Amino acid sequence: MFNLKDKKILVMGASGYIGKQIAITLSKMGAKLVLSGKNEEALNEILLGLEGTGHFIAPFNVEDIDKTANFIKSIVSLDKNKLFGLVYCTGIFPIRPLKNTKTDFLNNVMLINFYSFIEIVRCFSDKRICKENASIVSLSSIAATNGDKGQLSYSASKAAMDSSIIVMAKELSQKNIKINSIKLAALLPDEINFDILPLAIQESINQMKTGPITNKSVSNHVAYLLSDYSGNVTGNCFNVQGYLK
Amino acid sequence: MDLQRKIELLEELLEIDEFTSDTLLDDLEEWDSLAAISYVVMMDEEFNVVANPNDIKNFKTIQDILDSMK
Repeated sequence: MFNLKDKKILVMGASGYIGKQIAITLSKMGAKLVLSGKNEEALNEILLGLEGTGHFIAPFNVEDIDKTANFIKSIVSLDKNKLFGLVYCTGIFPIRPLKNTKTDFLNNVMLINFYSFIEIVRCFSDKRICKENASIVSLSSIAATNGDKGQLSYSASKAAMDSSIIVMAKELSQKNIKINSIKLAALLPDEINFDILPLAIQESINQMKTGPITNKSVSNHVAYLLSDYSGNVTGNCFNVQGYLK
Repeated sequence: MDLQRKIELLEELLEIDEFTSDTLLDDLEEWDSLAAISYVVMMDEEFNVVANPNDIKNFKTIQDILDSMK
């Protein structure tokens, strides 16, 4: 298994379904985690379920984008240790047709899914904040290239994220920082009955010849991209969809 | 703008705080082509000045950059 022993890693969106599992998986690999998200109570609950010691929570609402620099600085000044990794799981997935996709709505989706991602990477990649050989992983979606009806804002925000990855990888390689995204297809949550999922998602999952995508498998992909095992891998947006099309 | 604020802007630009006015830019790996672009942006935002590429090429020390920040 990948060794992330004592690597200080910031998980944004740690209280979400995937973010929570990523935190648990990374803690089992020895990482020292900083859990962030909006809901302090939920973060504290997840903190209790982590393995090892030295983890802490840092509640933050990414919509307060102007406060990002101070937020990131505070994470380093808290224990005087620079960050090794950043996992960006923050995101919203609204379904809204073109007819109702007005500027305010689109701005809000872009703010949470894309603008704040860029701002956090910008602040994280400062040499006074992150270590040499740092690694950044963001969660994207196959909707970035093949969105469905109603996914206009979500697809656009993920496409923006993915197209930014290659540019940032080129700039950040000068600092030995790698950055990649994982483009997920539909996830099969543990506690949700398959039959009640929307038909389009059922069809997508049925096509997955390698088995359904779970939050645990996604967590292992994230761990690989954070670890030394992915040493020369940067600027990639990995399709994880379980079938070829 | 006072000297302290100019130094803070340079620290932000170069992401380091260990330099003096005599530090040679050739000795700073942080002073690269991207940093030069960031300098142009900083001059525009903070001083409302369009930086001259020839001036940037002629910068030898930190002091040269500080002198241009007006």
